[in-house]
Amino acid sequence: MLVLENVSRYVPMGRNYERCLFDELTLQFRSGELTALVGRSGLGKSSVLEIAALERRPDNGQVFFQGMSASFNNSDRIAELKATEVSYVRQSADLFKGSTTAENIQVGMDFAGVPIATQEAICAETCKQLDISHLMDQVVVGLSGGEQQRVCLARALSRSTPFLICDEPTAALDAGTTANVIEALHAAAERGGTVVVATHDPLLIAASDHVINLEELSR
Amino acid sequence: MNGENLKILNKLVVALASLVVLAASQSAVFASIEANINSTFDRSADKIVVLSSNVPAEIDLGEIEQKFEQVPGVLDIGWTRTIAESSGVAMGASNDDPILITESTETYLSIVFEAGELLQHCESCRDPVTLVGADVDLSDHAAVGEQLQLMGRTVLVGGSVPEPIRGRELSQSLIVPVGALPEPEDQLVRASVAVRLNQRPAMGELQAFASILNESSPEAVQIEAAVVEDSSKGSILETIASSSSLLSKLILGLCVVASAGFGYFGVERQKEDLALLRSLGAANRYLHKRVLKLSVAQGITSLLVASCLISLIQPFIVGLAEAAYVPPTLSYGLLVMAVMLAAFVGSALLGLRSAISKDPAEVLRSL
Repeated sequence: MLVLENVSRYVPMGRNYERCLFDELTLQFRSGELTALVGRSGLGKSSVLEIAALERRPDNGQVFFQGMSASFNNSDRIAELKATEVSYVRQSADLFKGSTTAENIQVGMDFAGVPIATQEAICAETCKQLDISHLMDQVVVGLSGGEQQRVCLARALSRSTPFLICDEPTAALDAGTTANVIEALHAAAERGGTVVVATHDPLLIAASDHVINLEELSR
Repeated sequence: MNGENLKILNKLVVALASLVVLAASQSAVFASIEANINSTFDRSADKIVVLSSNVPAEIDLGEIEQKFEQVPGVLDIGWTRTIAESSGVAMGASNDDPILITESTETYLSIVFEAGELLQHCESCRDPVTLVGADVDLSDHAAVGEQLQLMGRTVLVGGSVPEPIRGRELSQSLIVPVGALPEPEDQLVRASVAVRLNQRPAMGELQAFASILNESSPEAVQIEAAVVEDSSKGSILETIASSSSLLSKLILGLCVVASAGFGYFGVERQKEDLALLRSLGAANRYLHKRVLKLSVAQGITSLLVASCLISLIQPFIVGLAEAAYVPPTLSYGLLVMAVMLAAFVGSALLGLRSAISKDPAEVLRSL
């Protein structure tokens, strides 16, 4: 279970002014479920996911992984949690531009502690699942936006962390590929993982086990 | 060893190999510059003037020439003063006066006969004895003992001009009896020899010159490193060596600043990758090690680039500000490289510190 407790996020708008994205927001994401976080743009869905993935410290509040508080002041502990507990896929495809698809995926597994002997097989399996096997030896900078998005997702899935958090994972994908991605996310949840996605995609929302409308919580 | 480490190691090996190649080429460049300095400053100022206060009569010019030819680097033998005044001097020396070699320029030669030990070689010498002529070989014009009318005077040929001098292009030569010279002229005409050299003579060579001029008491020969406006090659190099090396320090300072800048901005360029690594769970210790390894590799590469650039501009620097330039020694070069590398790595680590002070999300969103 992943819990965000009374988290707040203020965005600086000028020298003396901050906009409150959300204030004292509490959310729970259950294990074994695919949870969709929905709401109109600008509500702070991405910020919520970033806080949940320990990518950004909240202005207030706490994050709990399996009941354990993540202390943002302890950088080593945060690094450890991010390496072994959480995988995060951003809306923008963040990849090592000079490396190949396989190298991008393997570096993620390195940090997660996946044994080197099994990395190649896991990488091949995940790429096959997301239909990017033919891209494994290609440098990612030449890939399309949708392909890069799937490489990011493949990197996150191959790490097999208990928590998988994705920001608009199907935004750049066609219907057929979206179906593959949804299947992969479901599979991760069925393995007992906590899968959270922020999305506007009706297909993904419909496929989710649980939907949280951030707009309703913010009222 | 994982792939990333292997890549860094490969880069390091390539960088170190390049460094060795560069060091060799740098040495060649420095040697070439040194040689250029030597040749550039090998000009008329590079005269070593050997002055003798008491040249004995026994000096045989042919012997001197022969001995000088055995000394490496001797290009020429000349004399330092004109003898315009001497031409009008009354002749009146007796045959008992000793012979003195007095002075000459490239266009004048004066040999003053005084009666003495060489009397037997100049038996016919008597007052007035004056000879004037270009490229003189007196034996071609007159036999010893003949009388000639030159410059309104009756000249008795006392002997032929020695071989080494005869070979020179002299527009005028005089042979005068020294006894006729007034006292001040007598002081002036003390023997002097100017030797033009390719390089600074070693002390041993100077002593050899002195021995040639005065075999019996070479210590009586005054030796002066000549000395026209303190601009001989030797003095230039000495000036260079003892200068404050302002330019070298300036270059070092610029290199260190440039290295620090490259180090810092090198990490700035990597901040996306660093944020991504943090996102995947890289601990600060890992990032420090990574940046350290990368910055050492990049620092060495930057050193190569900087060294190449310095090699390229070095000759111009030497040309523009020779007095402030110090040819780098090996230890100085190594010191500069170590300081540059330290500046590069230090600033890279500083850049990393700045990069990891922000949350990865903040870094990646700002790109």
